Amino acid sequence: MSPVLSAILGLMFAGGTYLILSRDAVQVVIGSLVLSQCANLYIMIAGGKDGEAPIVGHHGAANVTDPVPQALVLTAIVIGFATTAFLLTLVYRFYEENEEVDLEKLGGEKS
Amino acid sequence: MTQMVILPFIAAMVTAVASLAVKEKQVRDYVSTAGNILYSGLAVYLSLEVLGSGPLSYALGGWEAPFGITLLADELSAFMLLMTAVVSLAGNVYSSSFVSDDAKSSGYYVFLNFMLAGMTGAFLTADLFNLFVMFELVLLSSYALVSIRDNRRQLFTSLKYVVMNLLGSSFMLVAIGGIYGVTGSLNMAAISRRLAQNPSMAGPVLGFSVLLFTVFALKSGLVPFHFWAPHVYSDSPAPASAMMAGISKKVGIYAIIRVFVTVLGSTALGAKTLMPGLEVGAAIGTLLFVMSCATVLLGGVSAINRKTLDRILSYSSIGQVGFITLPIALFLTGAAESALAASLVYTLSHSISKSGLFMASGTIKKAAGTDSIEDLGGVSEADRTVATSFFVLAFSLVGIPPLLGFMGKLSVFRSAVSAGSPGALLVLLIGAVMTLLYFTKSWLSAFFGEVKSFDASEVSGREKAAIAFLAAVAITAGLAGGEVYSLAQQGADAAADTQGYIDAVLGGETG
Repeated sequence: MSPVLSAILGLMFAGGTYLILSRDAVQVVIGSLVLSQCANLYIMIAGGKDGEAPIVGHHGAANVTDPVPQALVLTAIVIGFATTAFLLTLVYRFYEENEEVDLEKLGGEKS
Repeated sequence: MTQMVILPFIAAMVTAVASLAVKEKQVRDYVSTAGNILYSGLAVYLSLEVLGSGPLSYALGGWEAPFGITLLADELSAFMLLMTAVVSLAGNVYSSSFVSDDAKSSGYYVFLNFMLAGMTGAFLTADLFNLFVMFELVLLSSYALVSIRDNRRQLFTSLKYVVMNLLGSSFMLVAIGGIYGVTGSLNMAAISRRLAQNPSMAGPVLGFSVLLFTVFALKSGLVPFHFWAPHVYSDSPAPASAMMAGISKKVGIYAIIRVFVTVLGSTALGAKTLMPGLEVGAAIGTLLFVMSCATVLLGGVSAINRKTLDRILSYSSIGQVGFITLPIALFLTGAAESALAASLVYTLSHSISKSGLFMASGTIKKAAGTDSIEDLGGVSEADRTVATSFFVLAFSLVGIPPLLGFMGKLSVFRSAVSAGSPGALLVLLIGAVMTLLYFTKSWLSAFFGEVKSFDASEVSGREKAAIAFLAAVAITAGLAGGEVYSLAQQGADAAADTQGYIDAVLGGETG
């Protein structure tokens, strides 16, 4: 596992956490997007060593990369994409209703 | 015929797509209900097969375990599927009359049935990553169901709900990625076997499993991850809350049982660690014990103070989950052997009662224009069917014999006694008294007295039928308490039998 990548992952986690704690709904969305990318990057980093492309009959069988983490991340990206699209639509509708994306100002109303 | 394992999932998927394709209002209702009848039939068929001849596994696409995704229907899955079938059928019939045409055109049935498909998949899968995908399927559908009414308050609730669950999903992904990195497998049976063979893996897996536990706790609304539940349940359409509080919450419970009892339960930390011999199950069990106690107490106290039916039910469903997880904690810490079956019986009882109560509350709110218990009055005069069903369901949850809830309460209490845990017993007792208090309070002020405002013509036959059906199930299952308990016992035995699970998934093969 490369130390540079690990450091970047740490910074991204920190940044995502900072953004998600923000008052601005749009920043919260970006924060959750960053955090879900963190999870993907984490799987890639934890997914083992570099090697040759895992294609059947391509190279020799020795030293191939594990294809499973890539398959996982691909799935996770698609799911993250769907959720983010939904979330952005939600924030847009939210803005249309309230003309405001400041969560602190809107959170005061008790139901 | 191992393909039948996946049939209920396919039925739900096809129903979802079919209800998207059909534009005719009436036909759409029939399509969804017919799809759910088919689903229930398949679920019952699968369960009978499993109960008769043991667990059935199915390798998706013919990729054999542990390389492909394997589905496994065992007695625990069968128990959960039967519960889901009952609640979902009632929810669909109820929805067909309760939910507005607007919402239906915006794809209400599509989301409802996709949620059903996701829950079914979660109950059946033996693959950790597949479990994540199924969780997401349930969540995405529930996001849409929460925001389907599209007014200001709902949008805010929905925003909070989505962001929080997105965070939960990221954590779950990190935990699954980590467990894969350590054990080299995603198949739950293979993970369990490798952990048994390599004790050095236990340490990192314990860490990741705590992360996983957090996500399951968020999903099932345990304190301190409960705060989303009341808003979501009271702002969604009644049948959607019924489905979410009734069964989608139980997916979290199921995941806790499956992962921490079956898969990781007996994984012990190695000799060189800080706490040698500490079992993952016992560690999580201790955590779960504290959280369950807090859940029972906080949920109960909050429910007593609420003024509207929806809110009382929402907070009550937080507290009741504590009654379900407390026995699981007692089981995990090794204090009570019979506790797991008790937890399953309570799960069933809560699902049926709470979903029926949410539907009843939705109907009362529609007919009376309010669900504030002070502004309501004489509902039992105005509509006997709804009131009687509400009475049966509420007092089943309180634990009055011969209803199903009595069976649940009795077995939960019995497991606390056999665990010899006075603390657990005290918490359960306080929780039970509080349940009795808030239901008596809502019953007395909303259902007795003179009729204030209640337009009985608003209550349709289908809504009544759905609620009465669930009440009838609570009575019948209560009368057949012995059978229900033995069904739960079989589920619990299957959950606790790690070796049986490994053999069923991996087909006895070694490697």
